[in-house]
Amino acid sequence: MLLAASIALVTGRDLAHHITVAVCADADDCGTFPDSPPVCQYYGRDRVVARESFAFAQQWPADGSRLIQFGDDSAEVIVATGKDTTEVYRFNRWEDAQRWVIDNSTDLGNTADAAAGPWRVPVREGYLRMLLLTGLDHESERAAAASAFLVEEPSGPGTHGVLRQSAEGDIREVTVVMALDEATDELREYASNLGFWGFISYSVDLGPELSPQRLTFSGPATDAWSLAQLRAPSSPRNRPEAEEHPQYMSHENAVLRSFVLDLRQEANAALYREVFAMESILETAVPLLTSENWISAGERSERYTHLEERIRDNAVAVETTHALQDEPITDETVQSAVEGLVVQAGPMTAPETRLIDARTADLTIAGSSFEPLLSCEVLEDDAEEAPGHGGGSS
Amino acid sequence: MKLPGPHWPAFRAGLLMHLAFGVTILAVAVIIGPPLAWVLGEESVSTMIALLAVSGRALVGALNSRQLWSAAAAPSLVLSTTLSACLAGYLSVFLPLTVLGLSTTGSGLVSATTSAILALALDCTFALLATCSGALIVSGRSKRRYRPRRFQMSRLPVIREISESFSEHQAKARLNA
Repeated sequence: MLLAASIALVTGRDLAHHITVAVCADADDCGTFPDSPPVCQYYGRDRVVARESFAFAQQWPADGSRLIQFGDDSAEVIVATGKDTTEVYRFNRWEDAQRWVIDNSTDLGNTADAAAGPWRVPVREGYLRMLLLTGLDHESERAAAASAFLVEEPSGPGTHGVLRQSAEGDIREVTVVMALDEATDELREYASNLGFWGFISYSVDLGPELSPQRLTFSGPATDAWSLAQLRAPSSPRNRPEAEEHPQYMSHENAVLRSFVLDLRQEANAALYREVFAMESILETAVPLLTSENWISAGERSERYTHLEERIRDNAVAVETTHALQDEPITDETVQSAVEGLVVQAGPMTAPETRLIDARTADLTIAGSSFEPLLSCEVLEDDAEEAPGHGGGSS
Repeated sequence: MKLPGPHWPAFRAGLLMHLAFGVTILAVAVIIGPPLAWVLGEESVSTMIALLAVSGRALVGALNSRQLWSAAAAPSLVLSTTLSACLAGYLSVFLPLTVLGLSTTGSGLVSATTSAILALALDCTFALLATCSGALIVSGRSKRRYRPRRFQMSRLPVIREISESFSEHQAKARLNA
């Protein structure tokens, strides 16, 4: 019996992972991710961008830990280390991320400590260490790939953001959320033209030596919006105050819309240098959108117009629809869910979500329209057909 | 009053039983704990496992002491044997794991060590109390003779060795008296 129990102890962790996945595979309340959805194999710039960026699902397996699965099957675990700080652990497969959470989560791992008695001797760490020393463990010892810090008002009142820093100490991503009810009229009009409500966020991905790689504008998607509206600058548009945000009335989910500009292209980089400036936050130089500060309304309007034109001509548009898990659909929960999807590394709470639909469009292609990412069928309700795109099934 | 030393054959049997139980309950906690905790929550599953551990140790204490009681051993001998077997078995499993677990912590090592030692001492005390309870519970029932049934622990070699050894011990004590 001792020998059998010892063998079971040594192999038990993998068995526990399999049982956990089996138990929770079909149960919504467990929140375990299902297999990755079939993604259309059509090759295009928009598909690549979307798969790398959209969060297929996010859940909170334990207090202070968020597990995010991406469209390319990779995953991140965001662990809160303080009130305003997190650590980010990256995994190539979401199953590995889930196992790591099971092993290292205080909530889930403490069941092993209970075997010693009610006062919870720290047996779990010793057990994992034993597996490591005997060469049976491969995931427990993992260093954080990045850390993130919450910052308040980086782009003026009503804004908050997150700086993501690599393990080497370089700033790799700056994400700022700007609430529209505290924004200037010019920003609200810009957000409305892009089909956002509630808030607009920007995210700058940085490479070595703070070289800009990608600029993304995101926000909760307005229902009554289409690419034709973005492409017709002369058509009259509703003022933001007049919209009723019917998004959650016609759908029962949260829709996130994003526009991604490749900053390695010179034209995009030039515009980026025009509207962003290096500012000091937490004794670190980071690029921030300065249009809301210290400039006139006319200049502000001009900058946003340039941004809008650049997006219209060169961006990748991604629209993802996410079901909220066990949450009522209200303005607040939809905004909170979308903010959680945008500020992925941040130490905030957000409703659990699961992707149910995704569409992308490459705006460099004249007349392009949104095409589904998950089903590979061209929707009939898009304004124009996409010319010359061969779809493939997954 | 000086406590008698343990009855070594019974001590060996008890040590093996506590070792086996400790490893088994830990394996159960490692395998079943996380999926159950995912469904039911960590607190309730941890409570169930802790209760299982306590009752299991009481059962082991009862089994370990049964032969000694039925051989009319003195309570002090029974308790010293079963408690020392429990202590040795418990620490053999959980002390190395605790030490290994402490080696993974970095900052705050002193406070982590102190709290871990305290938790280990409290849990060990709990285990000893459970074992003692189990041994005392069976004391009344085991003192009467019983007919061995077809499947009975008295058939196990180690238990026969305990009975024979105890009979010799009793005979020597009468001679010396």
